[in-house]
Amino acid sequence: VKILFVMLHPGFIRYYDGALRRLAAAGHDVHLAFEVTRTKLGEDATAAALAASSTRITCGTTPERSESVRTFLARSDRSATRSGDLFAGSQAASHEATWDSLATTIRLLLDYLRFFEPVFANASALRERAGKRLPRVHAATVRTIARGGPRARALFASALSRIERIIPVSSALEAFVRDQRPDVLMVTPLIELGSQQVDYVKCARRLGIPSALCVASWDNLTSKGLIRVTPDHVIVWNEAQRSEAETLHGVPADRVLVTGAQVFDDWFDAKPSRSREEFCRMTGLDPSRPFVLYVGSSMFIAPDEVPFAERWLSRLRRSDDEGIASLGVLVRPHPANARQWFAFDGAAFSDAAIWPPIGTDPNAPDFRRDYFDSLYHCAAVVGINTSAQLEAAIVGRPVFTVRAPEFAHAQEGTLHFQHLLQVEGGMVQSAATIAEHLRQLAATLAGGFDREAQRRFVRAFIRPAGLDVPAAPAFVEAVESINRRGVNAPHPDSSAVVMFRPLVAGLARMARLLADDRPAWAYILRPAVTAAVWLAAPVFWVRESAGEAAATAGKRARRQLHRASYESIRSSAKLFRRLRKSMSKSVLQAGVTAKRAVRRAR
Amino acid sequence: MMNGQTALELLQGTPASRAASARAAEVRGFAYGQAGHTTARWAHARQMFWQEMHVELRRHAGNERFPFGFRGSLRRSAQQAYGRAARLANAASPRFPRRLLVEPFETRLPHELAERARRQAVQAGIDPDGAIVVAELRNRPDVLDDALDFLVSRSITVVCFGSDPAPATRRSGVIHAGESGNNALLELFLAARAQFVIASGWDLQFVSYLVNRPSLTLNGIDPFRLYPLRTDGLYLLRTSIDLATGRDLAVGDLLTEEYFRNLRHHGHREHAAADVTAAVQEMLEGMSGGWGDTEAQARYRARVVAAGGELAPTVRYVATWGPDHGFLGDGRLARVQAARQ
Repeated sequence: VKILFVMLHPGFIRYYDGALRRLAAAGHDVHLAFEVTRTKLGEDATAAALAASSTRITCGTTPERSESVRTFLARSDRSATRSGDLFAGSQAASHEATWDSLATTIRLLLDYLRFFEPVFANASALRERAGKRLPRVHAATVRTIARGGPRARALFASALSRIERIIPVSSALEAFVRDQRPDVLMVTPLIELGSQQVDYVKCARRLGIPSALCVASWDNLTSKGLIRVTPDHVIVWNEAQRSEAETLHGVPADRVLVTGAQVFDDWFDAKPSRSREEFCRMTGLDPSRPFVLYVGSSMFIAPDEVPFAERWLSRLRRSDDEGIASLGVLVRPHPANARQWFAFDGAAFSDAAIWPPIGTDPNAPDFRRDYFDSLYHCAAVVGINTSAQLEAAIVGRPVFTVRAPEFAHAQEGTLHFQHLLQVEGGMVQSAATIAEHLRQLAATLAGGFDREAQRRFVRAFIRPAGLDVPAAPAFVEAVESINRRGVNAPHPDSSAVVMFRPLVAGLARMARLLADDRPAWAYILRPAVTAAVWLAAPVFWVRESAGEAAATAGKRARRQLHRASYESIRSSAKLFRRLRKSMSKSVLQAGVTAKRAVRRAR
Repeated sequence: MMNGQTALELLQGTPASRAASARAAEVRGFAYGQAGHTTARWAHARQMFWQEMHVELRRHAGNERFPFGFRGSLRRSAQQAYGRAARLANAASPRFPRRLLVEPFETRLPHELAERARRQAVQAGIDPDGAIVVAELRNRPDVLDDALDFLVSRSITVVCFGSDPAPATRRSGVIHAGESGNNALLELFLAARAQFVIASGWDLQFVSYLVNRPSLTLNGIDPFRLYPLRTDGLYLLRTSIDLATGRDLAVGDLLTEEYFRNLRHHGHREHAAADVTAAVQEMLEGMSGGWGDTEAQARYRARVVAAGGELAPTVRYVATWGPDHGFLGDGRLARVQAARQ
């Protein structure tokens, strides 16, 4: 089977690493195409390592877009300035960029609109994040419509979806997919705000290629955008995600395939690489005391996590319970949000350390091994809202969280956090205050840990086919089953779509203009400024030309004057020399004549 | 902690406080965004106009169909428009009117409110006529432990508001009066009767000016904003850290344009407990023996004032919080930190 897997960036490989290797081992050819390159956490190295692991796996990039989402968002930066005409360049490029602008606008509108649904009532931060991506005029429109109630929202969403259907797929992109000739086209994550991966799903439908969305992580279906064009299949981790795909994204039940979370397969079989004593000595903790692992969260969840962690640690140290107060504490910063931990005042607390050190390469061979060791050897795990809590549950450690006001947007304000609390009774012990949390911690460490409840969660959320059944083979089987269902009939554009496209082209041009996110009056002022500039240009040219002509004439006159004066001086000098010569000749001759006359007179 | 606006509302209405409140209202207007509304809007509108002109002209300057010289001329015009917008933006930014708060206010709680607050204090086990210090606990109460012990050893009762008390801070002489902001009247009443207040930030520091009490303000993250206005004020700076490299920043680094360009590029480490204790000792010394600058403190103030003058034209934050016509404040950085600069 030839698989084309379109990923936003190489960072998504980590979710499918094992599954991709299995696909290659099963004799399938996989080409990974990345929309954007990323090197922040060494993702390029991950891609290179994967490609080197099998000749059946290749990596490359997708065709460059006339206007990427990033460019679209950059254009809305009001403080930035750009040179040149917005619609300059070749007509074809400008045409495609215009459609890209409209597509991104429509997708961002849909993404923002979804966060006004009642289920997202508490998700103010998610709503705000989605709104920020839109030019202000569009965001205001969505807010106004959203106030109109469910019917207004549904009508608006339906209109946007219809426009989405009319937007053509870039010819370069279609040529790319045709060249690849895949049997199955997969995309991930697709639900990024304004994602252009929608075009690959549309392209696959046009060409009759079976398509699938691979849901990469547990928050993907609730904290980001919509699946705007439903692919033929959606591959999810578990039943909770199946329900989200159906209810929040309108995916028909028969298109959803549940495989489990292949990203965690390695965690079930992993073994610690060193003893607890060795690990504690390496990290600087006291091996004679149990320690708690504090797992950091991502930037969106916890932009200012250090003050909370210090407060928590300070309270832990002051606990009435000697066993709690003397616990060691190991802090593991989130790899993509580690910098803020430079401000962590570790020296103020005894038996507390940060591991791995800030700035450690997440692709370093020891990184994952150390992480597993830290989970394995700890007595409990504490965090705000992060996938490390899932990993802790797999390893079988009690997991805790504190509902702090500064993280309300990331706890009560996200749906995926509810999974931690609700799926099969939940696996995280949540406390409203640090004091309550410390009581929970004390009770658990005193032997009150319900490991069975945690296993039920892991089974339901991570490995729905059974705790002993890895997810990667199920993922491979899902991909093969998609292929076995055969190719679809190609869906070329309908005549209605072709008919409406010229009308929508006007909208596209407007979307491109509005993406600049200038104030409304600036658009009104723009024709006047443009006219003034175009009027000033000929005046400038005339003035410049007249100036040039005058300068040339002056130069000539000066040159002629110079020549005239030069010539006249020369000729005067010549005349003077002649005169002098003739005069001296005359004087000489007069002298000679006088001499002769005197001689004759003698 | 209650904010200054609540304090002003409680203090208003008494004859003695009216004149002072009018002055304070100007400050409140600044602090809570109510002052110069129309002026600020007008300045903002003009700034936006020139900003947009800059964008439009710059856009046309990139049009290759225009003669080269004309494009250069457009670029120059765009630059001029940008300069005007920048000047307007800076001029439109509100300025913290430091001079207005220097002189003491004649404020007092209305009799009825004062009596009610007194009863609440007694119920909470606080002797309102005894020697008390009001402390605001925010993130890490533990850094105040030694300082609180020191105060208690001087027979001073410490009344804490803020973070829920950890068991170890429950000690004789230290009374937790509840979460900050829950009982603004009690907080204000006690702040007005305290020997001095230990503020965790701007709000309680502002209240200390309203009730004319000395203040020690913690958690300064730049040299300007929390610089104490009155001679009986001290403040402490947190250690700033460059989050790109993990390097601790010196005061000189905090007085550069680069530092203010993006404050999120910096983290701030909690105070050392010893510094807080030393600052509390300095407060007691100042109150008993008179206030005066050490050479290091005077040098620090001069340095910050000079830097404020240099940075204000280009850094909006400093224009807002920096020296007010050359006046930064009569207070000082705590001796223990000034000596390290």
